Amino acid sequence: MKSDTQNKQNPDIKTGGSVLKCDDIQALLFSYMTRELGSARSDLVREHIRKCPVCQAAAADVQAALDALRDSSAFDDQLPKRLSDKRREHIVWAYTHPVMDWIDRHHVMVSMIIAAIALAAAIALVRIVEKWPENLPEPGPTVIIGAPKENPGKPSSKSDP
Amino acid sequence: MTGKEIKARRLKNFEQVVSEYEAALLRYAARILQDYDAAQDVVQDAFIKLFKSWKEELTPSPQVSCWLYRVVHNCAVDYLRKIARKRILHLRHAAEQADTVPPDRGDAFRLSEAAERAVTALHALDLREQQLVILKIYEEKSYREISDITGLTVSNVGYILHHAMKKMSEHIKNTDAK
Repeated sequence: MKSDTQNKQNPDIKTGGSVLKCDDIQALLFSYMTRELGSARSDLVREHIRKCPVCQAAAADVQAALDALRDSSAFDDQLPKRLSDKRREHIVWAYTHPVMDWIDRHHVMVSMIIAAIALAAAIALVRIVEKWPENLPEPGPTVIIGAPKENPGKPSSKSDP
Repeated sequence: MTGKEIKARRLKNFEQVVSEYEAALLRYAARILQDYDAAQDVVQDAFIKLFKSWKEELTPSPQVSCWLYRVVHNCAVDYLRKIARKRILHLRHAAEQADTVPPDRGDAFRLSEAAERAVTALHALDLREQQLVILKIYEEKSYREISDITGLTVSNVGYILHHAMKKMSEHIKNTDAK
């Protein structure tokens, strides 16, 4: 709908033998403004923008967004320019540590060794659990905790005949 | 070559590559993450991955640069997903706020209103669009370089950037209208 209105307001413009619609031009605006178009297409876009008020407005919007983004790059000065010393040390350690380096170069073998160790540990654990009841000591006398304590000096009157 | 010599050469390579790319990568990661500490972590991880997986002689080159940008981006996306999951689990409302409001960089440094609006509009884009805009506008990469970094075709880069800028223009205009 919008493009219909645009095309009524701005009939297709013939530039250098090519017919370019506003939609086509607007799709190229960003590339045009960031100098990504070849000279022939840049000329077409420039010529179209010169004659077409709708595309001029669209170009102004894109330019405003571009300018605002470029302004925001002012805070680049606030960004850290170097990795912290701690992080650099960590990279050097990871890069040059002989054991880490060996592990990294032989990661397949290391993974297999770890898997074998894990498997052996699991088998050993299963065997220990299987033997568990045999190893348990005989149960001792049952002790009731919290039972009422009878006074040995005073025999209960109810139990007397 | 002795072990010491290998180590010395590796350290020299490390210094060269890190010095060449750290500032640009920190800037890039900080723009995506909006968190300087997280940017340092992500860049550190990218360098470690580079040193571990780069089989050829390691010297600054366009290939190394592309590789690093790609890995930093992937690490940053992973980090953001992890954070988002945590936020969703713990504080949904806070996550919504953080998604739309840029972090406070303190009183010592303030951007112009238009620039603040542009940064807000940038972070309203999806991550792929943000990546392309950051690479194009801030890092001043060509479509060809962006294509090498992202694996997209050159025409696709142009197409996505066109739509991203359109969205940003509308976002900025809507903010102005409010």
